[in-house]
Amino acid sequence: MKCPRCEHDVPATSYCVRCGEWLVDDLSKSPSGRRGFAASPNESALRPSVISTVFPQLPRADMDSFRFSLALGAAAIIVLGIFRLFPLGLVGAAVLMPLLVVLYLWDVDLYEDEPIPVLCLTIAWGAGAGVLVGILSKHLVAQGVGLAVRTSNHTLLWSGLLIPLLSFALMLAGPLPLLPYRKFNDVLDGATFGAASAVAFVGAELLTHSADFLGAGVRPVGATVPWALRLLSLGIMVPILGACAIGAAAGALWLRYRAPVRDRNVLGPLGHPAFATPLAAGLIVGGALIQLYTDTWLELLLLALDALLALLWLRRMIHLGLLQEASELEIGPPVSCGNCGRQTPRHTFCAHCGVSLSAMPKGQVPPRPWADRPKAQAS
Amino acid sequence: MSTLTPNPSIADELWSKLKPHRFIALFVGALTVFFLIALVVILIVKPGAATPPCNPDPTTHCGTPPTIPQTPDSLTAADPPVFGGKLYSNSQLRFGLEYDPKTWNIVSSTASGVQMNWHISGRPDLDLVLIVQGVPASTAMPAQLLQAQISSLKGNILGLKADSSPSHALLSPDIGYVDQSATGGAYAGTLDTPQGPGPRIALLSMAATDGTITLVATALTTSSEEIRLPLMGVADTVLNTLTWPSGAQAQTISSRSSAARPGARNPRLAAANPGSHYLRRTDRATTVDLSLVLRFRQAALDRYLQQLQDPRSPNYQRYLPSGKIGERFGISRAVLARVKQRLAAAGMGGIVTYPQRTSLRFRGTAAAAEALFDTSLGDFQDATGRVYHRPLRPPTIPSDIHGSVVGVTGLSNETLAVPADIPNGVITPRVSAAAYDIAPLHKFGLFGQGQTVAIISFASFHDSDVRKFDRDLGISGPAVKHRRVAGGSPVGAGADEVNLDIDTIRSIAPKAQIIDYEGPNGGVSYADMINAIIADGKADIASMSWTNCDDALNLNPADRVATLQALRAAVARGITLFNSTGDAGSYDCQRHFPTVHRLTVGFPVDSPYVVAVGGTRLATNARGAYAREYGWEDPLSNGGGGGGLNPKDRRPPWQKGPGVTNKYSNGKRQIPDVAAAADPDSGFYVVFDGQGHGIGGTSAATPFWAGSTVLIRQLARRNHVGVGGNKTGKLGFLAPTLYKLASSPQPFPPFHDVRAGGNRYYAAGPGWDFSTGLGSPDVWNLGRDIVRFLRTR
Repeated sequence: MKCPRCEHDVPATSYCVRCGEWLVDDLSKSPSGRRGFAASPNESALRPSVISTVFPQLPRADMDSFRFSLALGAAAIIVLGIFRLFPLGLVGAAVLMPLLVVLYLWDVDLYEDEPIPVLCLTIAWGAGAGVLVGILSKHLVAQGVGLAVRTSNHTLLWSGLLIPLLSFALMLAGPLPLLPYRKFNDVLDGATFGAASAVAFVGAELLTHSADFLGAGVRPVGATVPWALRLLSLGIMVPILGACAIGAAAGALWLRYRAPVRDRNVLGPLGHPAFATPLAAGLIVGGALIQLYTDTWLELLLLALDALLALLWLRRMIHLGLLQEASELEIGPPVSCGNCGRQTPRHTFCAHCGVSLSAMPKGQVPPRPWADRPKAQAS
Repeated sequence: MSTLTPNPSIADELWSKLKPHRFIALFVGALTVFFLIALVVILIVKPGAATPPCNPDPTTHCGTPPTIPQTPDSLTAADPPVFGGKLYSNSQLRFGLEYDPKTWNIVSSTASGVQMNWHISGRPDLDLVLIVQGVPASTAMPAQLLQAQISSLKGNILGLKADSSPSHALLSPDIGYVDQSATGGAYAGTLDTPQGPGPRIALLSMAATDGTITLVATALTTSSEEIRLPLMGVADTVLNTLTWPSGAQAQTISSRSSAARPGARNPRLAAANPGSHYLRRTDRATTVDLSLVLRFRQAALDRYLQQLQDPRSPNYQRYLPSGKIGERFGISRAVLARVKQRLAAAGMGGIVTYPQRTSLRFRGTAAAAEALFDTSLGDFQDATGRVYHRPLRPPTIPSDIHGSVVGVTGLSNETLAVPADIPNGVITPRVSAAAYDIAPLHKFGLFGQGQTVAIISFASFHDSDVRKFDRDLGISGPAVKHRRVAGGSPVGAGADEVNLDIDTIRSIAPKAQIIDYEGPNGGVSYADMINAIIADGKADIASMSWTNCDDALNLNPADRVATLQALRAAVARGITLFNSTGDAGSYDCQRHFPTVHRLTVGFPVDSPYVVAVGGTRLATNARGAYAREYGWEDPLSNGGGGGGLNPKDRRPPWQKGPGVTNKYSNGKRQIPDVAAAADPDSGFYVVFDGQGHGIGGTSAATPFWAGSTVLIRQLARRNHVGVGGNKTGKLGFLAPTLYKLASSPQPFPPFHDVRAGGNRYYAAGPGWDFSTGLGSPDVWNLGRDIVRFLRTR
C-alpha cells in the first residue's frame, strides 16, 4: 500500500516502516490517539514525557522502570527535605539524574565497543567540567552574605549570565568530539550524548559548589518546604532543562553535519545550529535567572516551564530526525523489533509497534546502509 | 559494528538482562550507596557542638575567644576620640549612625534605611552585613516591621527560619539603647545561587521604636560559628551609635518591666559542666594542691566589719593587721600547729599558713588526699578536651581536726577563673585621663609614687611587653613584680588579661609599684590569692578581673566559703579589692554556659567584700573630653557589663543611696557598685605578645578603678589624711565611702551618673542602677571628695 504521508509503497501493517505513519484508517485505534512519537509510538509526539525524551532509546518495557525510579528518586529528595536532612537531599538531587543516565547508557549499550572513550567524552567530560565550573563559581560569584540581601549587578553578571553561558559551552563541548564518529552519526546520538554530558555536568557542579554545605551537619536549621521545593528544582528541573537544551543543541549540530543534506532543514531554524545554539543557551541562562530572582513555588513553576520548552524542542528534534533520516532506503529482510519483539521488515520503523528502530538499544539496531557513508559535508 | 540477526532470543536476552525489578533494585542500591557515602562525609565534617564564647580552658585563654583582626591605630601622635567615625544620616526618618569607613561601606541607602557591608582586607572568610530599615511609628510596630524584614529576606536565603538553638538566642533586643516594644530573634538559612546552595547564614534581627519611628536592624554573616559573636560585636559597635529622631538614646526609653523574664529566677544549673565525661580514677601519684578553710569566729568578724563602717563605733575605720585578724578571729596558734601536724602525718607537704589564719595551703599526692579526706578522685574530660579531677564522692574532714576546719578546697580543679577582657578599640591614656578627669592629678605630679597596688592573675606576662608599653607611651616606673603563689603561672593563656590589668593601671599611675600575684588557674583558688595579698601586707588596693558564674553547681561550696572568708579578712585588713562583674551583662552564666539564659552574676564580685566594677560605653568629643556614657550592652554579641542580684548573700548595710532600693531589690547584695569604660568599642591600649591591642571588658574597667584609686590614695597621703587617723593616705575598704559620697551632695560631683543604656536586662537610670552602679568616676572630683570625707571624720 502507499503511505499517505511519505507516499512510498510499504507493507500493509499498522505503521509505515519508512516514516512511522499510522496506516490504519481509524486514528482512534492508534495507541496515542494520534500519530505517535517516533521513539515511543504509544505516546503523542507532543506529550511532555521526560523518560521517552531524555532516554529515547529505552525499550518500552524499561521505560516504566525508569519512570518509577525517577519518581522514587524525586520522592526521596522531597522526603529528605521534609525531614530536614538537607545535605543528604542535596546529594540525592545531584546524583539522581546522572545515575539514571549512566544506567540508561549501560542499558541501551550506547557505548558499543568503545565504552572508555565515549564515557570520557560524555559523562566524565560533563562531570569534570562541572567540577571546574563549581570551583570557579565559588570564587567568581559573590559568596558573601551580601548576596543574601541584595542581588547585585556583579551577581547578575556572573551567576546569572557568564557562568551559565560558560556552563552551556562546556556541556555542549562534551559530545562534540563524537561528531566525526560514523557509528554515532544519528541525531539521536548527538542528542543523547549532549543530554548525558549536561546531566553529569549539572550534578557535578551542584556537588562541588555546595560542598561546604555538607559541613552544616546532618539536620541544619532551615524551613522544610522551601528546601524540599529547591531540592526538587535542583534534582529534577535543572538537570532536565540542561539535558534537553544541550541535547537539542547537540542534535541540531548532528542534524547539520551528520544527516543527509536533504534532511538538514526539516526542523527549520530549530534544527539549525546558528539558531539552536543561542536558543539553548538562552534556555540555560533563563533557568539561572529564574533561580536568581524567584524562589519556592514560583521558581519551581517557572523552571518547569523552561524545562518543558526545552523538552518539547528536544522531543520534536528526535521525532523529526528519526522520521526523516531513512526515506530513501530499501526495505530489507525481517528482523526482530527490540521494543515489541515481533518480526518487522528491516527499515526505520517497526511495522507493528511503530517504534523507530534507530531508537532501540544499539545491540538491536538494524544495520543501516548509510552507516558507512562518508562524513557529510556542511552545505 | 554490531550485527543484527533475526533471532527472537535477543529480545528475550534483553528482557532478562533488565527486568524491571532488577533495574529498580540496581537504582535503589546505587542511590543508597551515594547516601551512605554522603552521610559518612557529613558526619565527618559536621560542625562541632557550640562552645562557650569564653572557654574555660587554660590552654585557650577564656578572655580571648576567636577575634577579628583589628585595624589598630596603635598610638598616633594625636589621640583620636574614642569613636570618631563617619556619619550616616537618614533625612527622611531622621535617624543616624556612625561607622568606621575603613571597614564599613554603605552599599545602598534609601529613604527607608541603609545597608552596610563590613570587610577587612585579606580575610574573605569574615563577612558581615548590617541593614537598618525604618518606617514612621504610625505605620508599623516593631513586631510587624521585623516580620516584614524577615519575609523580604526569605526570597534570597534558602529555608530562612527562626533559629531555636538556645546558644544563638537574642536575649535583649534593643537598637541604639532603645528597647521600647523591642523584639527580635536569631534566624538561620542558606545562601543560595543558581549554581547551588552555599554557606550557612546566621542572622540576628531586632526592631524597636521611639514612638516617632520604628526601626529594624539586621546583622547577617556567613562566617563560622566560632567568630560569629565577635562579628556581631562589630555590628553592635555601629548600632550603639544610632541616634533616634526623638533623641531617645540620650535617655534610654525602656520597656524593661518589673515583671521578671520567664525563667529569670535563679534555679540551679542543669549541669555544672555539660558535655563532661568520666575518664578514669585519678592517678594516685598525681600531685594535688589543696587548702583547708580554717574555722573563723564568723559572727565576731562580721560584727567587727560593721563597726569598721560605723562612725559611732570605737572601731570605726580601725583596720587590723593580718596577724591581729588571725589572733582575734582565727583558731589558736596551738590548734593551728595540731592541724599542720595532722597534715604532715598524712603525707602532705608544702604547708603554707597565713597570719590571718583564714586557710592553710598544702600539697600531696592524690592517694594521700583520698586517704585523708575519705574520698576518691576521678579524672573527667569536658567538651573542650580539658582533663580535670574532682571527688567521686563527698570528702569528709577528719574527725580529729573537724573542730578547726570548715572545708577543703582543691580536691576539684573543675572550675577555672575566667578573665573578662574583650579585644577591640583603643582608649589611650590621654583619652582616659581627659574623659575621666585624671589629668589634674597628673598635673599636680601624682603618678602613683610610693604607692603599691596588687593584681590577682591566674596567668603571667612577659616583662618585655610592659617595657614596650612604657616605650609606646613614653612613661617609666618601677618594674612590675611577679609574686608567685603556689608555684606561679606560665605566660601564655591569659597573658592578655594580665597585660591589660598592668597596662591600664600603669597608664594611670605609672610610678606605682605593681605586684602581680600569679597563681596557676585551677591550681589555686581565689582564697589562696587573696590570702597571699593579706599576708604580704604590701598593698591595700587590689584589682582582680577574673570571675566565675555564681551558681552552686559551677562553684565548689568549699571554694565559695574559703573565698568569702579570705575576703572578710581582706576587708578587716582595710584592703579594697576591685573585681570585674563580667562581660555577659545580666546573664553572667551565659558566658560559661551559652544555653543558660537566667539572670545571673559572677563570683566573688557579687560578695559584699569587694567593689564590683561594671561596664559602660564611653563616648568622647573631638577633643577627647567626656561627652556621654551608656550602660554597656551589646545585644547582638551578648556583651554587657555584669550586674544583678547575689543569689545568697545579703545586701550589706552600707549599700544604700539613691536608686539602690528599687523594684528589683530583694534584700540580697546588688552589683555593680561602680562602672567605667568597658565596651570593647572603647577598650584600653594594651601590649601583649609584643603587639599593641585595644582591649575592653569589665577587665579594663576594674584596673582602671584600681589605678584611679591609687592616685586618690596618693592625693590623700599628700593631704595627710587616711582612715582611722592614719595620715598615710590609707583608704580602707572603699565601697562604704563611695556610697556615702553618693548619698549626699558633694562639693565636687564624684560620679558620672550614667542614665542611658543598660546591661541586657537592667536599664541604666538616675542614681544607682544594676547596670552601672553609682556610675563612672570623675577621678579628680572623687579624690577631692574622699580627701574631704576623710578629713571630716
